Amino acid sequence: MIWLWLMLSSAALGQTRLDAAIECAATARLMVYDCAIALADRQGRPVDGAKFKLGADMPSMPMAHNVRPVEADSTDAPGRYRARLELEMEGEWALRLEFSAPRRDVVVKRLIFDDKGGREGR
Amino acid sequence: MLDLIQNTIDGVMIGGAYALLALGFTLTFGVMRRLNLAFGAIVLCGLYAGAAAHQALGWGLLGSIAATLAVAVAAGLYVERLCFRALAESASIAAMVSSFAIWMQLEEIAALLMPRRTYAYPALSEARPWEWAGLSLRPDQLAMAAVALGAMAALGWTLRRTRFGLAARAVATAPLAARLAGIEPARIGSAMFLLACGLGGLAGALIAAVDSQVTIKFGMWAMLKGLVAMTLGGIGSIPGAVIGGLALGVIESNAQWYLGAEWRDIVAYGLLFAVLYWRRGRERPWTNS
Amino acid sequence: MDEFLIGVLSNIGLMSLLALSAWLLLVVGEISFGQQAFFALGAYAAGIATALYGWPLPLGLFAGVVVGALAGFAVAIPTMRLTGLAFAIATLAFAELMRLLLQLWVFQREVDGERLGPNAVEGFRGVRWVYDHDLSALGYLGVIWGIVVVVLAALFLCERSRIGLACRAVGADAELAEAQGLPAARLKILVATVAGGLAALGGGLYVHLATYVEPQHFSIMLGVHALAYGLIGGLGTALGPILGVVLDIGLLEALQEIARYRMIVFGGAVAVLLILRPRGLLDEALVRRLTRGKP
Repeated sequence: MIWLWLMLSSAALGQTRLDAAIECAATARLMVYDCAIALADRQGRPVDGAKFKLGADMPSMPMAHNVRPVEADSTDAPGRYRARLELEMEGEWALRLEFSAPRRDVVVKRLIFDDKGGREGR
Repeated sequence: MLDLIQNTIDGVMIGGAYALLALGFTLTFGVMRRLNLAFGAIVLCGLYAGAAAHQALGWGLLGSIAATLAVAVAAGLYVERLCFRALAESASIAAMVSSFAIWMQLEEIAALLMPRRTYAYPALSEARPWEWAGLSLRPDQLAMAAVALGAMAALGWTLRRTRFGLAARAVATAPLAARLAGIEPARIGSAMFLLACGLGGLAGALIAAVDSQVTIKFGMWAMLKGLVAMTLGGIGSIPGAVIGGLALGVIESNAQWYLGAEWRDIVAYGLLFAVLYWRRGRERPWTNS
Repeated sequence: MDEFLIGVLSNIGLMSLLALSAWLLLVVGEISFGQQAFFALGAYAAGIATALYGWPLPLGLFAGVVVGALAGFAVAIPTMRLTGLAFAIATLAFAELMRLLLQLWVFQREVDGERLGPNAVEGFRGVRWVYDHDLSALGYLGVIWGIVVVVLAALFLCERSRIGLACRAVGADAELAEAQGLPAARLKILVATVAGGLAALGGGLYVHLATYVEPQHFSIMLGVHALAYGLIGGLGTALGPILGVVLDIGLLEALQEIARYRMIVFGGAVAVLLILRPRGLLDEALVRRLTRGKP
């Protein structure tokens, strides 16, 4: 059944895509980070009212080291959200934003974590 | 031409350390016919202990190296008992997978105890490079190569001139005959295993001291370099491990210079594949020295 | 169902395909450290097909399988004359070569005003077929496990066939099998081809779940995990590798309190298990005992 549906279903649902900028700051607790997330659409306008979870994967070991995703909270600033993330170790992590609103979507960002925090980049 | 000479000198320096890593694999593989995948993790444990001693207790270079060797041998003892001694001789795949599981375990313990990205390791030497006729030579790299060479000479002497060495060679070439002559292959294997871990620890300490830091990725790096160097020189051969290590160092440094950093490992693995294909992966006798 | 649980179950299914791929080679007596390369090829090929050329997912997956199987065949030809450690290291060399070349490979196209496609070390982003077609996480979990079940059924059928028996004979003793007239080398090449396709199928499904891959994903770590799952679960049946994956990812991921210590517990448990059962939990002897008497 699913197979048939997969074959027949076509045409992307043409919609604006989201872009995210993430920066994380180290907290007093080891390996716990406060992450600030700025959401914008493709034209750079801030996106409010999004609901998403923030998870993390280690690129060096896909499909393992799952960090249980945490719900992100909105803040007063437009398009700004925050979440507290607990990782297993410092190093490279792929942060995964799994959206349920404004629609189902996923955005993946690469960050490097150390004792000061996490920054985008390699 | 000058570049080629400079690259080759640089390659031989790091190649000395590669050779020690390759010897670590060859010694255990020769006597036990089994692959220790935890080798890199064992070295990593030693290095983290050395870095911890440096950071927490303020130990210097020699102290850190001693801590590295001691912990590498202790970790080696753990791996040998759990993954090799406890398994039947025929279970070589199980021993390999078991040592892989312990690799993961040791690395996780290291990451839990010391979760930072990098740790400082005491530097080998901070003297400036020597310049001569357009060539430059880093004293710390020279010291690394000299210590590696000394360790290899000592190993050669041990294997050729001592009763232990004789027994080890007997086990490697003719295990059944050795057993009949009253040698216990299991005990020789254990001793050789620990010796290999000590050599690996020494190689790791030298490299970490040249870089003056160590990261969690060192374990995997050391394992790959050791495996590649051992295979390049001919699986199981002791002189092959030395030649393979030096060759790998020289190939890498030249490839990096002439083709760029991103091609260094591509050339090394490509060559490895070609060598295996060409030589049909024949395993050479261990004591072909 | 809880989203996290769906994620973990999806990962188990994907990893099972890679573990089955490594297990197939173990059955014919070869150790591969390189199945992650075919997983990578499948991921890149399927991702390119759907994201860059707008193919439907099933066709994209099929393209991935074809690429993976062809690569498996092409690697098997030169490596089959190697045995034991030499074969294992040759597969490792191939896989690392593949990973390093993917780190250099740029192949991008403009799609909907966005540049998509493999971009060297930055990886391959925007493989969004599942999201663009609004397939739910649960639905995709169904796709993954539907495919795993089909693969398992096919392997069970093979196991009972003449080819399956021949493979077991080659795995037990290749020289003896050859002396009995079995084409050991050709069987191994066949198995390596199928194993390449199977790993690629896993990779194709993985990239559509993750929406992005990068060369770093496909290091030796991934391949050796797959190999370990194959042996831990047991060499006796195709259910073995799946059991291995479930034990690691499933059980220990479920116990979140000990997740931080999971490799410490799991690593030790595997070492002890292999002392007791060197050919895995569901080894040949156990499987024979369980199936005895059945037609």
